Amino acid sequence: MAEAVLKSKKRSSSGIFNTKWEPLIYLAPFLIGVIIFTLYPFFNIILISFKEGYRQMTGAFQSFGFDNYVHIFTDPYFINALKNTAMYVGFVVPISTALSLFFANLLNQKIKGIGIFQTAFFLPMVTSVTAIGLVWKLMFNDRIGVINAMLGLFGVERIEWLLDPAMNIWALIIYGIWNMMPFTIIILLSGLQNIDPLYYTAAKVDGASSRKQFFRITVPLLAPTIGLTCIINMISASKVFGELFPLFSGRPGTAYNLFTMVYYIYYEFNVARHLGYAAAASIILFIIVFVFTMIQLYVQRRWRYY
Amino acid sequence: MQIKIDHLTKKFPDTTAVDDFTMEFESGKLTALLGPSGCGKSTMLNMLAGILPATDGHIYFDDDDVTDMPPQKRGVGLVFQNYALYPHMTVLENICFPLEIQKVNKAERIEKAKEMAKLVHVDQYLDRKPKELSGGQQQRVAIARALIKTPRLLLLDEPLSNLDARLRIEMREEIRRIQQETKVTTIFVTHDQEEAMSISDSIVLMKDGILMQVDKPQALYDDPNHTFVASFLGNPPINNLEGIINDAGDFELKDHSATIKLNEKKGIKGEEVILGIRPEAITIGPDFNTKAEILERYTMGKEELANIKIGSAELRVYISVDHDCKKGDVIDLVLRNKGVFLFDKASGKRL
Amino acid sequence: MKKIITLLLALVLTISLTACSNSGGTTTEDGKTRVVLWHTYTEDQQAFIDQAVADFNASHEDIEVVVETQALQDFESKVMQAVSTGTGPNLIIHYATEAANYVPDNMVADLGKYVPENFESTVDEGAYKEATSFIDGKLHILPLFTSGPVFFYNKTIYDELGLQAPATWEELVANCETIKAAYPEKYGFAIDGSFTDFGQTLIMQTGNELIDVANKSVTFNTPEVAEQFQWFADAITNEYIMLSPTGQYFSEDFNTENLVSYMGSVAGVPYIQLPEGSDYAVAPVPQVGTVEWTPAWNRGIIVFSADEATEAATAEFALYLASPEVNAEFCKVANYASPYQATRDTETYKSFVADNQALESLRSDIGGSFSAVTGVATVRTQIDEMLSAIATGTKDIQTAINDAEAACNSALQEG
Repeated sequence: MAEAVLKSKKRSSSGIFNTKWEPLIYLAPFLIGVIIFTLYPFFNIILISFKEGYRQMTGAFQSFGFDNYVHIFTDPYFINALKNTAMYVGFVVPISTALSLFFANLLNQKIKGIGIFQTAFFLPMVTSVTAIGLVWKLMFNDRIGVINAMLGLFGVERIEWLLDPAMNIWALIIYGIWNMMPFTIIILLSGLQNIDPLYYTAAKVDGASSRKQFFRITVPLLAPTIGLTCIINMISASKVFGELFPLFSGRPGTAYNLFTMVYYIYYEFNVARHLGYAAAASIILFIIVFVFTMIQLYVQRRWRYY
Repeated sequence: MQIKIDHLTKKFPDTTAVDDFTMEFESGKLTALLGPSGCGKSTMLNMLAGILPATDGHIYFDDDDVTDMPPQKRGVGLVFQNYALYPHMTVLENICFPLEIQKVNKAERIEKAKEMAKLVHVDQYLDRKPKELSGGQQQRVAIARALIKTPRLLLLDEPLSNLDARLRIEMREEIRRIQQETKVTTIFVTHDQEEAMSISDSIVLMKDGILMQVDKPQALYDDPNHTFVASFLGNPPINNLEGIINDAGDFELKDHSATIKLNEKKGIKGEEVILGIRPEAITIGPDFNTKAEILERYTMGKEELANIKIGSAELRVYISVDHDCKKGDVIDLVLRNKGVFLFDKASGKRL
Repeated sequence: MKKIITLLLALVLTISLTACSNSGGTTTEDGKTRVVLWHTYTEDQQAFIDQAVADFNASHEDIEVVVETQALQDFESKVMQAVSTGTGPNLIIHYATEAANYVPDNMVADLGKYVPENFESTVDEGAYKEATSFIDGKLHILPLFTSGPVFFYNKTIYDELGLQAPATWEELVANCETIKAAYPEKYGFAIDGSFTDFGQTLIMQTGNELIDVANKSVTFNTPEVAEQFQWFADAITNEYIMLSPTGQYFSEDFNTENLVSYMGSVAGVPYIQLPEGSDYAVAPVPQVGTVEWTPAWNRGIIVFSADEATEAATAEFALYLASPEVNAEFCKVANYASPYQATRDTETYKSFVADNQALESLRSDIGGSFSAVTGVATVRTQIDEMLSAIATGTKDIQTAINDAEAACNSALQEG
């Protein structure tokens, strides 16, 4: 009897099923999707970035080498894009994280009507990007915009945020900071709500001021969450692109002065149709973001307490 | 430091956690706030710490009225049930933290912290993070952190409930030792009567926000003023028999199935009473006045226990090993003087 | 059981692999030739296309036209990707410059084979010239409609100040001066969208060719062009020209009367809503005076190369869309002018134009456009960049022209 059971079991385990390959079969639809839509394009872009004079339609190319990379690094537009993107990331990520931390801390208080404020802060996440861009364009308007009106109260002279090319990047950075905050606040708020309130009680009994509690307890305990938002925000900030369109009427800055990395890729791909340059720029962007993410992860690992 | 609590009341929207509480805590002593869950003992502790404001009444530390004083000005050290050690700081940093807030210079606070660490025996773990310590070690660190600012009052909230049984015994002796070495007035909250009995100088027993009795542990056990106090203390618990005082002034079970002769005739005839008999409060011997049937005998460690039946009432009592009685035997017994209490049934008060 | 699972798996694999290749001209089971049209039209225009296709299919037993609506975003890239992998449409409606991207690789059909011999004489000169401006000189786009910028102005304010619609840019500046004197807060003029069409207009009106197709170079580095750009720079300095719209389009500033006139698409008419008591009027785009020229935005049908039968069937459908009645209806729903005299003679078209004063100001007789050569997209962008650099003063005029010339030439020479 027992033998019969064993036998029948053995029979059913023949072939690929009931082997270590079996899970692979169930995963196949997903894996094939990933291979086709993620891995293939990625490796294809690496390949294209080395093909000089690549033609999308026929797949023909003249030579294989670093020409595309040499070209983009001698292209002033690309250098400008690198500079602008670095500046954008360098200002937007730390400032928006710091401000978000401040607001998340406020939103974490047990105050009547806090729900209204929480909703208000998260509203931008569910609002149309174009609509928001247009509102900001209006706010940045040098004549009737609310930003200049407020600065005017402090005696600041009219700033041509959207007209003066030198001011363009600051307008973009301010808009970017604001844009990044809702998401960051949500993540930080959930991190804050995971901190045991007992730590604050303990600190209060010891007489720690709110400031001291914030810097000695909240910030260190939130460090892993802050690190996470920094990485996510750095990656998304380095892809700054869509923000340009509503602010500068479709131009990359008033006088094409505000190329960003992704705008450069978009331009080379969609307008100039230089696939090789676009691919090379994509790879450079990928490498930069990758390296910075690794550095951040390393720093964060040394930071964390658990 | 002596602590005086004067008509202290704490009301929450739907309950009164502490109800018109008046008492004094002795200076330099270890006092336990004992009571079942939800009796208001933690609320009491939090009011002493200043974390919760009082609804009514006053708290005095010596002569200072601290009722409205913020926690940091009261000079209290607080140890939490789950220790609340800062996970990102080392043991040393944790212990230093209260002094860091007081802006004591670094060398001085480290020296003081090391001293404290030595006192609580964690001086070899100074560079570790809390998660690298055992529960008992974390507890010691928490106590050191509470003591470093030389508080006038040390408060411990259920300090042992997160520890396993063996550590609990070790730590309660440690707490006793530390308290005796530092002589700091200490109040600790617990729901465990054994814990309270074993280490405190005196016990404050609470029920539903009301102070039931304050006394030395043994006095509380030997001389309870209320059936609740008698029932709460003691393991195995006291046997409570309901009945009335008969014409002879003795105790008669409610259903008249048995009468127990009382040594002291305190009750008024016909009064409904509760007779509390501690398990150790009977003596067996021939010709004694009360008959009981042995339902079961069993041994718990070194102790010999038996379930016996007097009339319709079942009791759990200690029986000396010398008595060679077995299940089903009928024995004669008599009540001792000590450990037998008569309470008024309506009020629960001792007669 | 095992067989069923294997079968299911095979099915899933097949579906996931073929899911992305659902179009392309093939013969259907019932022997009809399948023609696939991709478009991005919505609402009325989409309804029109559906109707036209239904009518065409009903009257053609051997052809079945299939319509697929695509998102506007990245439409061009999607088409290019699909066409290069053989899964794309058989035809799209687009600009000649888009067709130019496919010409070097012989991926668009030569429509010369399918149009009547007298085709050149039935279509406007500018439109025909653009449709054959490819490097091989062949007809790679079948003109369908024409649009372009016109000059919108606030008639009430113009009348109040005794001004006339300007025929030349000089007159426009004079008008702006009058307006600025009367209303210092108002702007006299603005250019909707990019500066490409405006810059092209200034260049072409000086008698320039802009692109020398034979030599693969631009020709706008001339003193005449520089002079026009100087005029533009001065107008900006004097705050006659509004550089950036308050909202998305200048029509909004025009509606609030903060802006008195602007150069914008004829299709913008529905967005103009002046306050009560104010009225607007439309005039042709002003001229430099040397050569009469105005930008024309010609859209037409691009037929992708395919097997003979499919290509012929696609061309037949394309010609159906260009036939007078269908073309007139299409122009009507899309608010475009037609490049065909035959269409303009239909009653449908006549009644439609009579209601649209902007279309009358669209001078398709002098309309021109960029040659559809490789690199033209870069030329377009460079002109916008050159003029925005001049407008914001980031470059002096000659530097801006030199930089743009170099960039344009390098792009053109890739072809």
